[in-house]
Amino acid sequence: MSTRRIAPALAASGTDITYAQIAAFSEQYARGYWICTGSDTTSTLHLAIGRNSSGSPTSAMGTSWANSVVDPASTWVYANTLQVAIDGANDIELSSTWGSLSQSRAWVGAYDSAANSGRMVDYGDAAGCAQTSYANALCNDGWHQSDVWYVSWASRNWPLPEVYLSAQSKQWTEICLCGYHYQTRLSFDGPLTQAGYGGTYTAAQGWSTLWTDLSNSGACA
Amino acid sequence: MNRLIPVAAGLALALGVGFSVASHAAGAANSTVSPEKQSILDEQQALMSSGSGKAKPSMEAGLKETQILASAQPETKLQAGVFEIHAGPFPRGTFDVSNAWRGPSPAGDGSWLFVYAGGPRQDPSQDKAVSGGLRIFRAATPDDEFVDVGEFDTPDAVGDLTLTGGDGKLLTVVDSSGHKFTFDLASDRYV
Repeated sequence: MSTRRIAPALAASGTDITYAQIAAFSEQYARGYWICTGSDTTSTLHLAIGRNSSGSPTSAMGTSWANSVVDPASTWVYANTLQVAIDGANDIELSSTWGSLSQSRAWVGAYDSAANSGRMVDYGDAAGCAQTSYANALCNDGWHQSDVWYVSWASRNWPLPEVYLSAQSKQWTEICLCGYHYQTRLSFDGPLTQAGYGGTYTAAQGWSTLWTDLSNSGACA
Repeated sequence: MNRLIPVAAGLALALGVGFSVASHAAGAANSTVSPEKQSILDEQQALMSSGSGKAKPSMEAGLKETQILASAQPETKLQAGVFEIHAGPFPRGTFDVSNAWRGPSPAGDGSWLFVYAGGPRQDPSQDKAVSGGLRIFRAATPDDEFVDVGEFDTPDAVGDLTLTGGDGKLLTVVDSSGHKFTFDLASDRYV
């Protein structure tokens, strides 16, 4: 990957980049991991190539994310590296200014159908969801706990939820319980934190908080 | 450890494109997942190990690959002005972005400013900013790394700010109630 610009800065500048470029960045990141691990030939990396649910996600976008970004990157990576697995991902947030419930569900459903391999990692939030109830309670912007369950656990979806503070850990624990009682319980990749940014949890704090809440939940322990 | 698959996560998020990097025990049997989900993990493990006879290139060879790729990357040509974006070069959850403006700095030194309008979010478990603000970053050229100039909130705003225009010296923004504000890029303050 170029050292001149890294993907976050490139994206934040408002520069348009193509799906092919995103796939190429991902491929080189994966190859860089493989090469730079040197004598370490046993560690593995899951590289989840994600977008977020802002704007107006559509089913066509979900299909093209799988067909034009993740699947090509997967094919290249598996042919040219070892030790790296490729997943799709989406930062799905329950925000009134981001994509709606129906738009996000459409994107996820289409991605899941189109992807040839791997998982779809949801590294988003559960804003406004209940912290003490799993009875499919209402969250923000028309979402229910079952909708969050769908985008984070149905089909090939997997949760890596934002756990920046205590309330979010409790929200995801209740969604796990909602799944347990009405469908199937979640199995988390782990918590996503901001490494302590702005007074939020460090990685260790996010991990231990989610672990403790799940341990105390009974069904999701 | 069945509930949480071990993850050492580093995350770089921006503008609808993110790379989530997790190192974990891929393919390890997980008693809490369905056979269908386990098959996804198993298939991925097989793909990741396919062609295990591949020889890992040396660090030196890898560096040469990187240099060739970097030299082939085209220069970025940006247009100044307001653009649509909903994430900035900072972790989401503490500041919501409505849109942004970019353009040459009024300092005239060739640097560019990237200004993200929105508002600080005080409770990430909810989705609403409580007051408006701007976050400003500077880059020596549009191709260089961003340097954080600062966050400039205005307690007079109701909800998130949205940029409506800018001439390179003054930016105009509105809050959720339609109240207009003007921000001076030279002095970094509302005027």
